[in-house]
Amino acid sequence: MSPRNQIIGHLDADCFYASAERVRHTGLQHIPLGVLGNQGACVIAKSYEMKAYGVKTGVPIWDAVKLCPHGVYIKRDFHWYEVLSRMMLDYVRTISPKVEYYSIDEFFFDASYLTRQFSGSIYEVARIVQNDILKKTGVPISIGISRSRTLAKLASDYGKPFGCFALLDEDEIARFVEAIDIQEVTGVATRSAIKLSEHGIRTCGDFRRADAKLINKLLTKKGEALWWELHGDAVTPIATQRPMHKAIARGGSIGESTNDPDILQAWLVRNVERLVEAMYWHRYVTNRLSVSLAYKEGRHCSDRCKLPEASNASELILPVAKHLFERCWIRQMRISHMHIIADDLQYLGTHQRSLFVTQSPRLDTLKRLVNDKLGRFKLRSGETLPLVEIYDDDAHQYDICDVYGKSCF
Amino acid sequence: MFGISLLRREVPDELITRHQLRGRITRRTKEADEELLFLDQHCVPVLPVWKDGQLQIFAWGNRNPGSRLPHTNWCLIDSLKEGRWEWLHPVEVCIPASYACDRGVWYLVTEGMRGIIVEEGNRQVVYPLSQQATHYYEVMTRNRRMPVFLGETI
Repeated sequence: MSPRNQIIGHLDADCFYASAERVRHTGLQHIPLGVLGNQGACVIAKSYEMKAYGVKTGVPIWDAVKLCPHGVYIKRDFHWYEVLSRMMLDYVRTISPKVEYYSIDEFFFDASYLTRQFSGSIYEVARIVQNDILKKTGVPISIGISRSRTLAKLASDYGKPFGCFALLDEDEIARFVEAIDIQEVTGVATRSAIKLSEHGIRTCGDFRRADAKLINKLLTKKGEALWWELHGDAVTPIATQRPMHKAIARGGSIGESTNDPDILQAWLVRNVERLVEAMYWHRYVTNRLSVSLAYKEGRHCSDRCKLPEASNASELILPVAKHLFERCWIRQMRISHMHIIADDLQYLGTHQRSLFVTQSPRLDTLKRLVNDKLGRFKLRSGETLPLVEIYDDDAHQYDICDVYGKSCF
Repeated sequence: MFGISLLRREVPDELITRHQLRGRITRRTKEADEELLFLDQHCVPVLPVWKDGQLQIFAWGNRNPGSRLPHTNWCLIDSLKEGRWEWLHPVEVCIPASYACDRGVWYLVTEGMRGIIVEEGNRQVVYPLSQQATHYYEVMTRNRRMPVFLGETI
């Protein structure tokens, strides 16, 4: 089917984390609900009831409580959210042969097949899909259907919550996008919006009327792709397979900031173990490793180096990570965030092997064998023992980055 | 301030009437389920307790200056382990809760909290167990101590 005739659907769960909690805790229905991040400090998602009180994503809990004192807060559980996400994905795969697992709560799919499978107009069929998903998973979703993924996403946003919006007619598309702020379009961030506004382009209507060559000059070919997409040409295909990562990182906040060497060592090892696990799952080896540290006092420090050979073995990666950590650790200062980043990735088996260095990943194999049977982190490095609270708490077993296969983060 | 709430539908009417709890029924929003509040700031603080296979209501902590029972609302789990409550022959119980509120932050409780019941004459008093807060709990509520939850870590 030519891109001109393609119909693309965008399915977006409504306040997904809050909805997912309501599936298993039915008493939370109609209650202002905030989902907290892994440190308990920030609201990472909220229900529409809480949003109505002015609580925004990223707001610290102490501010959220002032805005909505009777709201209920809950710890995030990505393992549960993935269960529901995969149920939705499985369903969407039954109605379309081309589905992109864009993020944990968003999917793009080829909607051209919908009217062949169900009877009714595209709008009626989308309503059937919406109700089916609600019945099967308990999660309310919104659906947008249009000529390109960019338009489909704008359409699903427009319909929220529990909305359904089909946007197929060219005149209707032109009218719909005319006044929408260009920053509403995924892929146009603040810096791009500033460049565009210097040329008088502020809305999607302005963007569509601009010369495609100017957009290419301002926002490169990615921007030009958006120009075509906003005209209804599906130039960005539905990615049924996740493209190769440019880099894989593990880490984040380490909870209470510290300069305790044992705790920091434990976090370093934990992050490396998780990185190695992710690389093994994706069948990657890395040629280069970076360690990035952020200090409570406000400074950042990072360092990187090339590995002696491309690898995904902790026997090789951990000593390099420790070496980099030592080089960028300022001992007097308390670390708040730590990231271990592997880039210059290659697929395992396609990489150039070194003639001089060989690393047999025996330890990782053993860990995988045990943990596949007994559960994640059941066998782990003894150096992680100081993180008692982290390993005792199921919520720390699983993070959003552990949900594999998404094309977006 | 600490308190818990229990979904109204989980509490028998007879218990509500007998303990005059009707005034403690509330809703967070017009459409939300009714809840029954148990706050330590109530004039007569009480807590629901599963005891002898049924839901009962007991006095929460000891505020009676004439009583020999510990003058506190909480039992530190370490003190219980050290045997400092043994002379009272404490019986461990489950305090069911749907939500709890600590220093103004309401959070979901999936089952409830652990507590102990002690007797003095005909009077039975419940003390919820407390422990050092996890980092998460401390950040969320700014309290260094937290209840001992049943079947979950917060």
